[in-house]
Amino acid sequence: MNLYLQFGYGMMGHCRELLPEMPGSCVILSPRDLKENQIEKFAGEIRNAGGRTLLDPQLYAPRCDHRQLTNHSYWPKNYSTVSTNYDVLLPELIALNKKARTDALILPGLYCDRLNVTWLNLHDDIVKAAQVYSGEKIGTLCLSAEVLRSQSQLDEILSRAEEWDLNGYYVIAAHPDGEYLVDDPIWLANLLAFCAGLKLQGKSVVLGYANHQMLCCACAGIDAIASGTFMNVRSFMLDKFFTPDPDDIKRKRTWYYCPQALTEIKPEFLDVAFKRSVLKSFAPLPEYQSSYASMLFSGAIPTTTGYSEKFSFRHYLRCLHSQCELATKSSFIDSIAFQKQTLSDARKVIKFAHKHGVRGQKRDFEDYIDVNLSAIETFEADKGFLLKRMW
Amino acid sequence: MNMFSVDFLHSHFKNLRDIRELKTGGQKIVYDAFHKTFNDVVLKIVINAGGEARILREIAIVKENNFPNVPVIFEYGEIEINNKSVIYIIEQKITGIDLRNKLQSQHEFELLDVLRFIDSLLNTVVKLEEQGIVHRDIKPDNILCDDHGEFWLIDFGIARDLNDVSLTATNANFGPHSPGYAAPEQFRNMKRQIDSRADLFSIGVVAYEMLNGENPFIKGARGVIDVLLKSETLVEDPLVIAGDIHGDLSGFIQTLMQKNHTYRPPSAKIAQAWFKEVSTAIKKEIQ
Repeated sequence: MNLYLQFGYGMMGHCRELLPEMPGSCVILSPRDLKENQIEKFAGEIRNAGGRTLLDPQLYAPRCDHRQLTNHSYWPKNYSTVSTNYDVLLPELIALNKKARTDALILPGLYCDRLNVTWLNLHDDIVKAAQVYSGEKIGTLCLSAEVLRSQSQLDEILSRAEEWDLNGYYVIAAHPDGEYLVDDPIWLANLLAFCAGLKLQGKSVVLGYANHQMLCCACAGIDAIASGTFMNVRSFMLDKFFTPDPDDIKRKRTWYYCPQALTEIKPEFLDVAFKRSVLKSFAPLPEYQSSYASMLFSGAIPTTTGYSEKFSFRHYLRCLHSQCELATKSSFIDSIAFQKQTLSDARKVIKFAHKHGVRGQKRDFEDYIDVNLSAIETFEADKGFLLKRMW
Repeated sequence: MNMFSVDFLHSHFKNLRDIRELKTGGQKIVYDAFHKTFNDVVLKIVINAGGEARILREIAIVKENNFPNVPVIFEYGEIEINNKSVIYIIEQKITGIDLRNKLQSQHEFELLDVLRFIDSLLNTVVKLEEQGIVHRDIKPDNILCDDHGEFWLIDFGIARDLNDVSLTATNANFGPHSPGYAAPEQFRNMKRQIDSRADLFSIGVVAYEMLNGENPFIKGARGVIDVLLKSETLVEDPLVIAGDIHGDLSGFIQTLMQKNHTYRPPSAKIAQAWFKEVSTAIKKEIQ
């Protein structure tokens, strides 16, 4: 499983820095954050750095009013659910992809709040209209938390997807209640099964807007998760595609991601670890290959080291990239075993952290270990026999 | 003269002797007989007017293909009765009883018998798949167990040739099926989704019933709708099979019975290759 970089605010610099360390990586460009000329220019930079690009058209909610998005030439000017003419929209989108020389065409996909025939038929139309494009085509499946909780709705999509002439899928899974970390094992088990179902159809699968909790998707055999800097590119938030509410701007904090604990920790809590002489226990293990947080463990009090948001993001993505690689296994059994071991190891580190007063607060993974374990076990019991065979 | 009396039939079928009525179903009357050339045969007279298209399709499917473990059709044609033409079929006779009767008397089957059943049925379905045919009605009533312990698949009355025009209206809410054995995509008439995976589902259900003694979807159901609902939603009790030490057979059957066809083996051929490994391993363990 690879890590793709999900483009968001301030991502250009991070991509420039990280791509040389992640050869062959892919950046999913975001029209919300880039103008058309920037898309073309930046895609060229990524290519020159040995990276690949995809362009997420972000047409989840075509009625959205985000100015940056609606200014794009492919954006429908008069959107109507039933009359949107993809035969007109797609050539514009294809032209933009061609300018940017993206590696594949991500097709538009509407946010599915609750599955119905209209949604399925619209996606039929999109796939049909896309047949004019001869290159690799990736369908977007943007699903609400409610859809992901419903086995029958997911099954309907899988059944229909069998008929779509596509090379792969870009799955976007809205989290329950918009939470950053998911506390619903059924949601997660269904996501695993759904992704595995698409893989069984011989399609590539990229899970967009993901965070480290989704590392477990490696046991569904998916090709990549995509993650980025701020929370809005690590978990899908539909409202981020509308004009932001001025009252909605939150104070941003800097976090340190402790990969072996799957937990993000504020530097202030690392100060506690420093005071309790256990700070080094939270330094990233060598296999995660990140030096972006080295300053935190250099011997100084963590909050005085100048560990900024920039380092926080780069460290997070560098570690996640290594974790994706480590999670890639040659068999379903090995993949499941690795995930369980990772969670077991994380539990021990978190227990040790708590014992010494180091806590991740809302980003502490303690409560989510059981969620992931339960989801993995449910997925294994239900789909394991087939996946052992078809891996 | 009674139109279907044995004397009447003897007078029409000069190659047959010792004609004896076996059973009358909704569509056919079935007779036992001895054929001058083919020896023991069964004679089927189609009595249900209106179902001719399906019968002719069944004949075409079976006659044109020499499927393993499917009785051979030797002859077919039409006879005039009371100025009306009815279809007849003369086919290979399988000496034994149907699986439904055997299940009722025997309740549960030995592991080796179940392995043999799955092997036989998969063998047949693989060949059907190669011809683009889905049987769509695999159930104990349509499986014969011969005196040598071999299993035979009969009644292609609702079989579908995927290369041919469908006989079921596309907008029909339900496709032809037997509740409790049909896959969800089949009874929901999701035509584009129906292929040999629907037959794999039915094989899984029958195997489950042979091992467990009960059809999980029919057990305790309050009518047909309940059976269909269970077929779509019920999570069956896991099979605990003596001799299946690693749970491989149980897992295989569970995979055949997945509600969504995309989670079943992608083809009968792949299922067969998988099953051969499972079966070989179990037989080794037993020895």
